[in-house]
Amino acid sequence: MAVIHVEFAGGVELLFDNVKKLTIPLECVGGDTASKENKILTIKDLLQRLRQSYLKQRPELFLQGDSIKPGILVVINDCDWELMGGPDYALAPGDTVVFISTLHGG
Amino acid sequence: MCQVEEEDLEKVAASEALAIPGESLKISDISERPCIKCGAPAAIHLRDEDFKCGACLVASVNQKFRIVLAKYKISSSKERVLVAFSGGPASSALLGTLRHATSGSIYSRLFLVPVILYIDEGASFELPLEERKKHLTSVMEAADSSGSAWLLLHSSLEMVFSSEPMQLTSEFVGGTALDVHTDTHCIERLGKLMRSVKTQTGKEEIAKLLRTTLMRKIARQLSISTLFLGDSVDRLAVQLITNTALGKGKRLPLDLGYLDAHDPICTIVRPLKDVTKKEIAMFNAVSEIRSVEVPVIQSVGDTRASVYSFTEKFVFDLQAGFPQTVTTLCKTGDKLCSVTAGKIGKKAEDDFCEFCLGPMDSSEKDSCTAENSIALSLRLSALLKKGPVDLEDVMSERRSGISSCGSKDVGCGDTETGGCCQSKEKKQPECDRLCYSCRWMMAELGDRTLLPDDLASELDQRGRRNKMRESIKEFLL
Ligand SMILES: [Zn+2]
Ligand SMILES: [Zn+2]
Repeated sequence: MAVIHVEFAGGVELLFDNVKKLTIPLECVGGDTASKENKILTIKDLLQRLRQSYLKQRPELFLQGDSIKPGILVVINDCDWELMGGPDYALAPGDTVVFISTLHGG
Repeated sequence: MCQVEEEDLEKVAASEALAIPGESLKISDISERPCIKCGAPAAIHLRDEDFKCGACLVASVNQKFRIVLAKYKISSSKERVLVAFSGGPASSALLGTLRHATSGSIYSRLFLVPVILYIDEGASFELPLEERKKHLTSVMEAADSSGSAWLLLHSSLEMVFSSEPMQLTSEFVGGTALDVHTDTHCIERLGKLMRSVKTQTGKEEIAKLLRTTLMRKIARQLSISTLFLGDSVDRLAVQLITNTALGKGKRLPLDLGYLDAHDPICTIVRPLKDVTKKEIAMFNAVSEIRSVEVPVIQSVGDTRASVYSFTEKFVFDLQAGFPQTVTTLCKTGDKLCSVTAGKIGKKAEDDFCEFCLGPMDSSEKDSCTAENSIALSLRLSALLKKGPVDLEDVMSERRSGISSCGSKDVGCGDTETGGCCQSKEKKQPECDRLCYSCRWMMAELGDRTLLPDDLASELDQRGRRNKMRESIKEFLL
């Protein structure tokens, strides 16, 4: 089964009940409607899925509107998401997406 | 005094939302760029045309660290340095750069001997001891995982109240929880102090003061004269605005510079001053450096709880739309620093705040201080009640030495009673030797005997010295 790996670091894990790593079947990312069609799934879809099914508290600390909150760095396969197309990056099986908060901490 | 209307915040949020489509357009332009150093596919976009691959990013962070040390001639010594370690990303990266700098070829290796220090601050917001033990253990494990045989020390914020030499080491056995170095009497005193502070901003400032005091105290106990802090450029940009908002403009060179040498016993160095949090996050990811999150007094979440939290949100939101924000802030800060830095250290003891050891800002000679600005606006608003006012008149009135606010209230301008336009803290004579922000802190605190004994007694001692100097002045002619 095709899956993607999601990791949280730098404090983001606190919003996910201190879970540091998640493995999500790719077909679950798009939710029920998308699974039938062969829709391309993006980081945007992943953010929605995380908000609906995994985010435990204070969504405003993770998301701002439809996008990620400023100050949280998204790293896709060890690469800055800005270089990968940002929220429109099309997820592929086996991808690792890391969310790192750069707020607070020293 | 300065109120932010709910509505204004909504407007700010709305304008932020508008800025996002433009941002995503930019992202599509920069996909799959090469590293500007080696041409390999880039892994991080820093700003404008600055793209780097993972290896070049790690190299550049290590280089920035070396440059700061070389510039201040810290790299040539074989001394021990105390390294503040919070477990967070920035201080974890600091350990990473230290490990890189102290290993490798004998020709390029630094001979510094790092001593790692973690300070548990759980007691400042009444975290249960069991929780604190858990966090302490995970932080010490993270420090240990760096794989270097460095000395790992830990202490707790409440120990700043201890008068005995502090216990700092722990037998470190993997898998077992470490014991927090603490003392019930000290916890009580810290709790009482924190509870007496009214605002969240005040609590954060007091905690910061205690942390610095404790680190200096530990440095003294170990006879170490250099302290490394892992402040990143982002943290310093937020600190710059916070300091200014709190009326600590004069302290900027000390709180934000590469080096703070105003305490002759312990010099503070910030080797990561030019490194951004994004670089740090990527540096840690590429170098597989693990950091741990420990709750701190700055409440995560409520961005309006304190000046620091609010400023942080402000700066990072700006940064999201304008990637130059943080660097511009810090460059501006550096300019402010270089103007005032030359003047620091050449004055007599009288010109330093006796509490924070920072430069005094309440002298009459300098008109651009927080205190004078507040006095001016107090005077202005008193005059405005009576009709239109010419700002120039008010300014020149002050320069000519008239200290009355112009109101007809009884006692104004009367130095005996303090007058109506003088703040109430100023009436206490010992406060004359404190800078504006420390006087604000004392007012927050209410009772200064709640402070650690050596801070309080140091205040008294210096006060006595000043009085003595005054009294023997005439005989010294
Ligand atoms: Zn490269
Ligand atoms: Zn002061």
